Amino acid sequence: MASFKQKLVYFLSAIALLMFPWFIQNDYWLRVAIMIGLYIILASSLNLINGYTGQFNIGHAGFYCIGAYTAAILATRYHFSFWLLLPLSGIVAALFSILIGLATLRLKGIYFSMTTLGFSEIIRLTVLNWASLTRGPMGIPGIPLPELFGFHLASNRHFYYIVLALTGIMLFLSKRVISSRIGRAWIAIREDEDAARAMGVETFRYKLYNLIFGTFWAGVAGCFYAFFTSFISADSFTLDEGFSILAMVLVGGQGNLIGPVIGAASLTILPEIFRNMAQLRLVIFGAAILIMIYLRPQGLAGSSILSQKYHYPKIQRHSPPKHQGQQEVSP
Amino acid sequence: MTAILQTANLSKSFGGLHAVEAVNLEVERGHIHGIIGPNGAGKTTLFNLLTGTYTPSRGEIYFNGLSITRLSPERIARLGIARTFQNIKLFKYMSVLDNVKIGFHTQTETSFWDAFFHTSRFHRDERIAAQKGFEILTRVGLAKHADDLASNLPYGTQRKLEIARALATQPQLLLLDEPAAGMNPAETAELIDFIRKLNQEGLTIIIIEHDMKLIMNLCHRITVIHHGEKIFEGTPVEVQNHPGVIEAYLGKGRLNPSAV
Repeated sequence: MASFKQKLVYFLSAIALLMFPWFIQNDYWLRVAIMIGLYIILASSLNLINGYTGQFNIGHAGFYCIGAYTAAILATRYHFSFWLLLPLSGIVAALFSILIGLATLRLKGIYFSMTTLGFSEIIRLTVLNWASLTRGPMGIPGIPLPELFGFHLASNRHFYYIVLALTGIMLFLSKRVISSRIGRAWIAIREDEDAARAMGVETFRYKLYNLIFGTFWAGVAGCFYAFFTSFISADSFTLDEGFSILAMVLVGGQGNLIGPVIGAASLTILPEIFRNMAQLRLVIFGAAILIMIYLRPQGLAGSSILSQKYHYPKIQRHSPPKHQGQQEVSP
Repeated sequence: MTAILQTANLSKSFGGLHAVEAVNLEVERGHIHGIIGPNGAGKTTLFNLLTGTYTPSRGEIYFNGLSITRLSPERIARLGIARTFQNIKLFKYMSVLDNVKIGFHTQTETSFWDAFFHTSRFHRDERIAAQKGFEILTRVGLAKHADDLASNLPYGTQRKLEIARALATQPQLLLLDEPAAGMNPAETAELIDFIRKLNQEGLTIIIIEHDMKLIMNLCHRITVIHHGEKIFEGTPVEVQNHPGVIEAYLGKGRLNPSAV
């Protein structure tokens, strides 16, 4: 249970986030804030997979792409509503993840990573070449504005509140799942898959659930992105995009919910500050990852749990394991 | 038939190596059954076969009369066989209590829906896991460590936690793989009492152990394995007096009468 102090912090941050667009009159920074929200959803959903079950997904951009194109195609051709497309894009992305998962989650090691990497590229190339469906390299323009009770949601302020709500829902549901039987099973799989199976955890099924849940949110993020920019093309969903999302998770810290939030915020703001070096964006990300690995391998917000994983001798609370047979009563 | 576990001709080869060769094992319900043999005899491989970690090359395994030969580890765990691991396999970066909570996975059924909306089923499951988990920790004397990370426990205590976690699955049959390894004599004595108490409460137990004091003290029957084959089975007294066993598998110093 959250203590009073924690509740106060949550409450004040919520107020601050809600008031934010009224203080920031500058449209540019509002757009940055929206992109931060979008990347928080992407990085947090990737973290659910990489940080909680330890399946190393590199191709998150592929699922993001599927969500965006599902939304763009259905909205421009069949006039589906934004609110229906949010879950629908997530579901379509999750369906693709089932295909990937069924094929690779039984294997151990890097097979899953390699498949997601390839999958991401296959999706991008398919989108680029299946011109009758996706208009190929021309992209899909003219994605209509979302409507709410007859209102067109056109301003950045509206999009800010939409992404704020989505991020809030995503993090809230993630937190609830993580602190339930399902989340414990996920973490157990990350820690020791053999032991988890010996405890009766159907590891294959739970890895699949995890992948579905994570990629669903990538699809939702894709749908939001399509409506926000009103134009999408395959260029937005390259492997580089996938690596950027991964960098946010690594810099922020895996295996806890706040890490990717901080990672997404810092790695979205950083390139904006160094705008005149835009072409160096990925170099900055690469440097950020290297610096983090060297100085703080658990990430900016790395949980104390993971910090102990890497700095074991500093933080341990009990005497180290004794040699066998030594006369020492446990503390 | 009162056998809880039976194997018929159970064999496992890795390439040309016959790790387990035509083992016929019969474990009586309510017994403590010891498995001994020199290092590399195939004892742990046998456990891995019984729990589904390995699929047998040949032979059958029956649990309560039903074949479990080709079932997955999680199915077998659900049927009521729990185990500990020789090389400790705790969930290191989870708390001690959370380690035990995983054991209740098969007895709880929270779905995504329940977790999202904190339904009554979610609350019931969390209560079961927390309360019963704490009870089990209290039984093995780890209650004061409930919030510590499993990896911060001393080695012998980690073994206790492995047993606690296995007990949380409410097994009918418990497989202990060298439970006393890394424990000091006082802890081993405590462990012997604890295992005996579990057995008196109706749990059938199979133990692999090199500590002869523990084995001879606890076991109703002992199976001796060498080079993957069962070479002898009998009561502790019979095993101790079997010249072949003494010479080849226990070594001369270990079974010195004053040590037993």
